[in-house]
Amino acid sequence: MESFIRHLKHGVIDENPTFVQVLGMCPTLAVTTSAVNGLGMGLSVLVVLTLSNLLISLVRKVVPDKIRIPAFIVIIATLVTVIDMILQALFYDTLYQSLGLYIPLIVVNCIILGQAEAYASKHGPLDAAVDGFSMGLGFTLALTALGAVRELLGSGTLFGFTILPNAFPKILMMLMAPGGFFVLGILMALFNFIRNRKDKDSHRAESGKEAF
Amino acid sequence: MSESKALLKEDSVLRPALILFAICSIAGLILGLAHMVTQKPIESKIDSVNKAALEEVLPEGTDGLKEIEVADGANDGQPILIDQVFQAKGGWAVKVTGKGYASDPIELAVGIDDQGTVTGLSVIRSSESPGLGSHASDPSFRQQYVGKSADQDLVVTKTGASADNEIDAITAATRTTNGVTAAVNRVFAYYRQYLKEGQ
Repeated sequence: MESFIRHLKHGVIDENPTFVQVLGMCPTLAVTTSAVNGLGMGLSVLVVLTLSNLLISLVRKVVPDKIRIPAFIVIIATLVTVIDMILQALFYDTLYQSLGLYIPLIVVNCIILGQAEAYASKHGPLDAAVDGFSMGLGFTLALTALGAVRELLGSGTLFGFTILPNAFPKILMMLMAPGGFFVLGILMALFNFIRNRKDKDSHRAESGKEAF
Repeated sequence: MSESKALLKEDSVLRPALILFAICSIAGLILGLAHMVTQKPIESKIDSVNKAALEEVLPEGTDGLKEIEVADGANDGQPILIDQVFQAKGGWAVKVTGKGYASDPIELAVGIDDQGTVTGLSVIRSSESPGLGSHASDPSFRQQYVGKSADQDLVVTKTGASADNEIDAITAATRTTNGVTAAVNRVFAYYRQYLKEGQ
């Protein structure tokens, strides 16, 4: 349990895929025009990443080093395609209408291949799945935050509910590409500022203890 | 015998190639199976989405709904005028595609009653930018088309619709609005030429 929490902290804060590793920027910037879209994309990646890490960890001993990249890509692409088909069969009229466009993009999301290469190919299935889950969670939280800020400033709503009064000027640019870059940059700076300060605080606390 | 064993040795080129071949074969098999299982449900889902769109735009529901042939020659010129025509009690539903901002076209269903008045517009499928062009699916935008007469082509305005045949553009999504409006105008042209009484 303790290691699970450590894993979570690792994925959400220390190695956050969006704000620290800066991976998967294409879907991050393209999808986050609303909080719901960010959440949906994040959750899709969370599911795919958990499953792909698990699968790749299971086959890691069979796959020789030389062909690991093509083998991983085939496995990930197959997984995503199957998930896409299942989503269409079950939710074509609801969820798929908004997420359908992004599911195929997950194949080329470098977080998935990055985690397969850096973690899943070197660790056991359980650890790999937990790692995938926490990285996916970090990605989901980052995308939802990004989407929420852009939606609030761009359309005056949050998760579809009107928050800002109509008189409040809406910054349409927030919904377009430049707004995505601005908000991402600002959130990234904030995130790392707080993270660094926390790190320093805990360092100071530790060295303080030693002095006593 | 000894030769084939040599091929499968640890450092042989063939070994990784064969393993990759095996992985790809299994992946292909899984994909084929998944396709077989999901094909029918996906088709029926798409059908029900289309049917719901027709139901929504037709004046008196889908009673006696039947597809009628697109008139000969209607689709000869570019761009393709319309995709499908359905006839039901009291009017028609026409499926048509418009070119918006995204590379994928916007699929629409437009309902027209036998007086030539638009009874509904439904967006069946669109890949327009979320938060911008995706507002084309909002009822407040689609409602603008309802009640318009097919006798007159619609025009898009950015300064607030004042005339009968004007449509307010969606903010920051002029091309989406233009695409939808042009598609509706093509339905109008088809109606005037082929569906209107006495034609």
